[in-house]
Amino acid sequence: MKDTIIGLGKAVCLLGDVLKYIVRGRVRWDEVFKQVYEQGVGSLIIVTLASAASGAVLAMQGQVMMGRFGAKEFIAQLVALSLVREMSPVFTALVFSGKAGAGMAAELATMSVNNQLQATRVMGVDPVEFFVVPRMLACFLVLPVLVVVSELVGILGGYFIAVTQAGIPSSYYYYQTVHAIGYSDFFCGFIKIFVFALLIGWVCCYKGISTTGGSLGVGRFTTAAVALCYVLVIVSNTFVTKMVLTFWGNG
Amino acid sequence: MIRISGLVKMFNGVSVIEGMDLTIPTGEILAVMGPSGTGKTVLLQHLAGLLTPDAGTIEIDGQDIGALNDTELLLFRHRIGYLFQEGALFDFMTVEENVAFPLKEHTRLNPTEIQTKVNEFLELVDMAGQGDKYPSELSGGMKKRVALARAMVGDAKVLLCDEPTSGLDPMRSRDISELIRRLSKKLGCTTVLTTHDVINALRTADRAVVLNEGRIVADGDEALLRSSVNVFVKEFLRV
Repeated sequence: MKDTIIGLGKAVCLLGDVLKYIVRGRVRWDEVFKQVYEQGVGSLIIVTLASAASGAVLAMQGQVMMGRFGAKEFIAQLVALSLVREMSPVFTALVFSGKAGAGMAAELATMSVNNQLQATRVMGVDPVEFFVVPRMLACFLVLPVLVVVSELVGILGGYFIAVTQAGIPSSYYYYQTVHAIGYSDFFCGFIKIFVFALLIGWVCCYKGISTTGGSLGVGRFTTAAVALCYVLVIVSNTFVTKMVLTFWGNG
Repeated sequence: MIRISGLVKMFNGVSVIEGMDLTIPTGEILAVMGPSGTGKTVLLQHLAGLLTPDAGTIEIDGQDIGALNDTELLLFRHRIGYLFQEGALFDFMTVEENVAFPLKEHTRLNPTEIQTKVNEFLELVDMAGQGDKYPSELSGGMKKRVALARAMVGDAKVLLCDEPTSGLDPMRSRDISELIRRLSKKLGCTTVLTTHDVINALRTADRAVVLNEGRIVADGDEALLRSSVNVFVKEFLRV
């Protein structure tokens, strides 16, 4: 319990340091863009595949369930709204945690056990400024783009099933999709992404730089970081959804 | 000059350094010897400002390290070169990028001047022509040479070497020891190295101290240490 409280305090201090550097404008943009590339490219293929499959499955289930009520023509709306409001932000955040988050945590953990973070400090450079700030900022830049990609690909996956399997005309599917998604739907999903980006970047960087215990520690802390991200994404999603529905309930 | 007065450090109630007093004149090479777990690395980390003493003071060139805040410590460390036991090179950077790192961070040299200085230091440590390699492509001895170049390239006034010969074969140990001595004298650094490698420590250093359970039990040049009547010192030097 004592260790948990100390750990939480250190994590809050880390976030404070990150904000301090950002507010003071001490951001190494070349490092940020390197991280954007690494996190983005690394996650893009998995997000694309997972989203296409999710959209297709939603359309398949929609065809069966909505067919029972004679409302098969609303498959496009089901797919689009489910993806934009809920599934794409959460799925993408989970995939991002497992790929980019694990990468970040493992990389920082390895540097920590090999004294590279301490070497940075000894050379008069704060590792938070050099390693953590760029990684956390990159999360805020990459995750929204990945979610938009996920939404588009998911809708295309649903389109493919709706048109080829459910016999929905292509132009009708397009019309229904475009008219189903309002600004508030997009915003409801999008606001979550920034909460997830903060949590994933924060947890993975904190776990990474606090790693001890050699190669065994790298594995242990990386696994713990990813597991904690999964839990935090799912739990925070409940609260953010409730908040969003309270303020923009009928969207 | 480095002046350590009444330094005490404890971890979880266990005393690692117990009231150490030590003065190291500018330009001297001091070897801190002793078996594992006697507080050698802890002492070095105090000198680099990575640890805070529980009691006592450490002054480097008249500046009390314990009185510095985090920002001042980062600035203070520009004057320190630290050679880690395993080198601690950035594995995502090439050899050249590693050596150039302190220069890019703390000087206003243009890229050509940085390249010239990097080449000069790589040549000093006999690593000329290896600049494009990554640390994973280097042997243990080569890593230490590059790490030494990185530690000294920023005109460090104090060089701290943590077990510079550990993990190296006897020939490489001798080479790196001679290299540290040659570079320290050439650049006029005050050097503190920790080791349990008696032969190379005495080969490199102007003076040596022997630590046992956080206390200095012998202090002097090789002749003085060898004439010590302290049982622990005699046993340590004999091994």
